[in-house]
Amino acid sequence: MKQTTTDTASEWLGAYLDGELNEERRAWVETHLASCADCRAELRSLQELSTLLRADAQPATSRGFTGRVLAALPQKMGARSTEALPRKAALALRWFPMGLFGLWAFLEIVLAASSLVLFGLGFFPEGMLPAGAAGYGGSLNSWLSGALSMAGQAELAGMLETAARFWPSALMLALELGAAVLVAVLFLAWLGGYFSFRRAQAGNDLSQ
Amino acid sequence: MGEKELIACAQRGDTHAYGELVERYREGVVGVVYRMCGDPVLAEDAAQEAFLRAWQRLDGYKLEHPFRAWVFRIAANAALDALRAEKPVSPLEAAENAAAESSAEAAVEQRQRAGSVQRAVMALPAPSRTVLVLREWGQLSYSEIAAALSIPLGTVMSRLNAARSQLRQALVEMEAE
Repeated sequence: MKQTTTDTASEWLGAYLDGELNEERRAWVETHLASCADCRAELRSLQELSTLLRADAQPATSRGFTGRVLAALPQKMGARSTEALPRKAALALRWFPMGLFGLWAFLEIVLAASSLVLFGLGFFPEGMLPAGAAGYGGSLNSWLSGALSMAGQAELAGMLETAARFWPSALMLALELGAAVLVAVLFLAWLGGYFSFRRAQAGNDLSQ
Repeated sequence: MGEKELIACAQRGDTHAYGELVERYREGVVGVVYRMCGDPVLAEDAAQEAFLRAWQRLDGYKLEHPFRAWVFRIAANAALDALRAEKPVSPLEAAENAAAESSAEAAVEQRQRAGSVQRAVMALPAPSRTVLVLREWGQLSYSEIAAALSIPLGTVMSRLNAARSQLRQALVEMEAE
């Protein structure tokens, strides 16, 4: 039991010497020290070690140290701020293309799924559909144009019929193009940002 | 000018303010890097590199944290990098260099002891050595060391205990030789 207490106290002696223990723990160590010769010897040994370490002189810096440091600093402020790009921002810059690829894949999947749904509902020109695949969309269009014809709006009904045949494919095409343009613009923006960052870094390295 | 004002000015690109900070922390940083790498010449280069890195990262420094702990951490890492780059320098060689740097009038015994201490410090594993150096020569508190190295407080204490224990053992063995 005594040995266990001594082992525990021994673990705390360094922190005791450094003044890093809270009041309760310090009081416990002091109570233990009063009754344990081994721990008192250990504490003395730690004190001697600390004295020995701190007594060992360190070399003085040579004359002109600060001047040399200042002369070596990057002169341009911009260079420093790009070099000091926060870690998170630097990581984001590095992983941006992967995120872009993910975005592109996501958009393609959504567009493909939407096309399938529209295809299933019959929202495509007749030539694009397999025979007999009119679907709900086709029926809806027919019903709407029929209703307009009956109401004496034959021209409007014709326009609706034509639009109903072509708008889904036109919309899908526009969305597809929009997605491609968005991804391309983001990629070019990243490329520009990345290379200007690299150039600024190279400038910094040279100036050091 | 107060330290926080100097740092704020340096963050805005004022090199004179930064020069003042370098003057204030020069001895401390050199002390840390010297204990980390054991070679006075290498220590000065590493100290210079540490101040350059600190300047480059100054934008990321938050004023509410102790500047001393922040710059000492950079110094310890710069010293370790310098050691990696200068691998051929053995701890023994480094200790001898350190001893030789002492003034000619210094007692032989003192030089030998300084060499022994530095040799023993250099023999410590880098994580324990870093904690010991930041505590003994950097004079950082345990919580400052924990924050500077991003390690738990308990790890600081255990590394420090291990370092001191190994150091005492090494010094006893050296004296016995």
